[in-house]
Amino acid sequence: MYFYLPIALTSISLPLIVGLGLLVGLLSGLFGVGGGFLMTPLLIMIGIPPTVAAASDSLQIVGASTSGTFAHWKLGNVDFKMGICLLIGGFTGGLAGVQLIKVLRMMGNADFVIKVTYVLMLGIVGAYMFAESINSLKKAKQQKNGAPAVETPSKPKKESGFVRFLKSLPLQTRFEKSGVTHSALLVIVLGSIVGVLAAIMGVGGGFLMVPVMVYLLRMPMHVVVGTSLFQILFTCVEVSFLQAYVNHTVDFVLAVLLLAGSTVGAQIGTQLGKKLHGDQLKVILSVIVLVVTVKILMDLVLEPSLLLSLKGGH
Amino acid sequence: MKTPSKTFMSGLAGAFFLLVFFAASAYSVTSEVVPDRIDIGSFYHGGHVVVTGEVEAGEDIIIQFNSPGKKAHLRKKGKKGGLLWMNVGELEFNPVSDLYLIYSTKDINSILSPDQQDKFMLGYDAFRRRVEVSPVSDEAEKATWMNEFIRFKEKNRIYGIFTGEIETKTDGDRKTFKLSIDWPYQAQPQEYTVSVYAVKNNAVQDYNQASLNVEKVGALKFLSNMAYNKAAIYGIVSILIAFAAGFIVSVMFKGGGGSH
Repeated sequence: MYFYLPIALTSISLPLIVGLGLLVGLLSGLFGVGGGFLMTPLLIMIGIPPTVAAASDSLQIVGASTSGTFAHWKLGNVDFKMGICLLIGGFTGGLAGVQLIKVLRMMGNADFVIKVTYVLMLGIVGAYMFAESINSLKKAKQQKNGAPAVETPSKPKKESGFVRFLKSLPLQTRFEKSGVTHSALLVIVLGSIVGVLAAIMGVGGGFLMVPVMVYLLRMPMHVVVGTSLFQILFTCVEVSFLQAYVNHTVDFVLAVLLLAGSTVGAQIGTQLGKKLHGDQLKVILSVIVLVVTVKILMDLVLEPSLLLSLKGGH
Repeated sequence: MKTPSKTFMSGLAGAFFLLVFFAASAYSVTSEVVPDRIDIGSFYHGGHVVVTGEVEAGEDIIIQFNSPGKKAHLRKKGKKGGLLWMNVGELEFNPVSDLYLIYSTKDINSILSPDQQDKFMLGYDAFRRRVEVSPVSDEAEKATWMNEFIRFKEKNRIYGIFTGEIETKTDGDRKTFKLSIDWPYQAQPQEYTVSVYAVKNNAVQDYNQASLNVEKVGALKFLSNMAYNKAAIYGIVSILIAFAAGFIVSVMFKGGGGSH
């Protein structure tokens, strides 16, 4: 069974597109990422014009992350205070990133910066997450077997200068749900850095936001997933509206078909996530990020089969 | 100075000549395209088009499907820093059709002279000579990007040159023909021209043209019009439906329950 897409102006197979939605929704529910970094290239691969693929995917993420956020909210896994701070930063950073892209395009090397940033960020984030979570899993296994932990601190650690600096920042705020205290200013700045990078790379930024929350803000993994989905939901509402209003590139039919799979996938992912340990989740996500990095790197190094392409997309 | 009777006589002769000319040409090629309209609905996945007609016995046939020529802008890929392949700029191709499909009874180069190919824009050689590419530094670079353009379009099934797919049958001094093709769903909604050429002695003897309308209909047309003409409403409704879909599925799954 095929559906014709009114904006993409192409025909697609129903099982294929719903299956894609299911897969990306599963990742969304499991890890709290929007999945844009995965879905948009997949849509382009099956023949959707790049601009339509990116815009319709953001509408699809609105549906999937509504489903995911609601499920995580029911589980008590959404830190709204943290989410709103990150959102403020993300919006500001996104606007700055769009301006930066304009300048780079005028200088004529925007594509080079975008691609290199993409590979570096994905590679660094993926490799760090992988190494860190494998270490945690090993430690947990050793402790379970009764072996002494590798690190046995005999006396309390002295606070580093950096930590003291962070604690000296104004607007120190307690984020109850996450069980951490940070300067709201720091959270907003981190959110804006992710916003700049997300705008440069043309993605929602979930795969960057999740490591920032885990490693820099020291939030527990289950709260990270719910809070990330909450933040992604609002980012994608803004992007979807602007794409529909300014560029006319949102394909409603495509987004609905993707949603049919992704909303269900997000629920299955959330249920599955409850059965997995936080470090196991991180290992799986890091492997996916690394596989995508290798694929992008191969695309950059190997000669493409076609030397011409339509405009738009990542 | 011409007298009125002389003027009348020469006018009559001219009219008679035109009548004979058009009568002859009308009988040289006849063709019909069925259907002459393809509706694009929600479940559209391409169509089927049949072109039938007659030419004189001994003539070859070329059938061309195309759309009006216009500018096309595409991104070109190249190596940056001697290592990484990426978009390195834009190219403009002008004029090019969105669709360019040609079917012939024999290889075009063996039945039509280059001049005639250029005159009727038949075949890739004529296409390459007609289209301007910019910015390029020389003819060699133009040729490279023209070949890439054709490969890009062929991969989407909207460009192609095919030989031997027209069925023919000679009956006395007339030859009937039939071409059945699967119309590609990648061809965008617009009006296409179907041209049938009768070819003999390396030249086009006569041709006939018909139009083929490919149009959006029903809900698909409604959504498309809304996306372009009422973009703000389209955006807001789309977001609300996405919210509702996410919420409904969440409720169906009872929002999880329990905790990590």
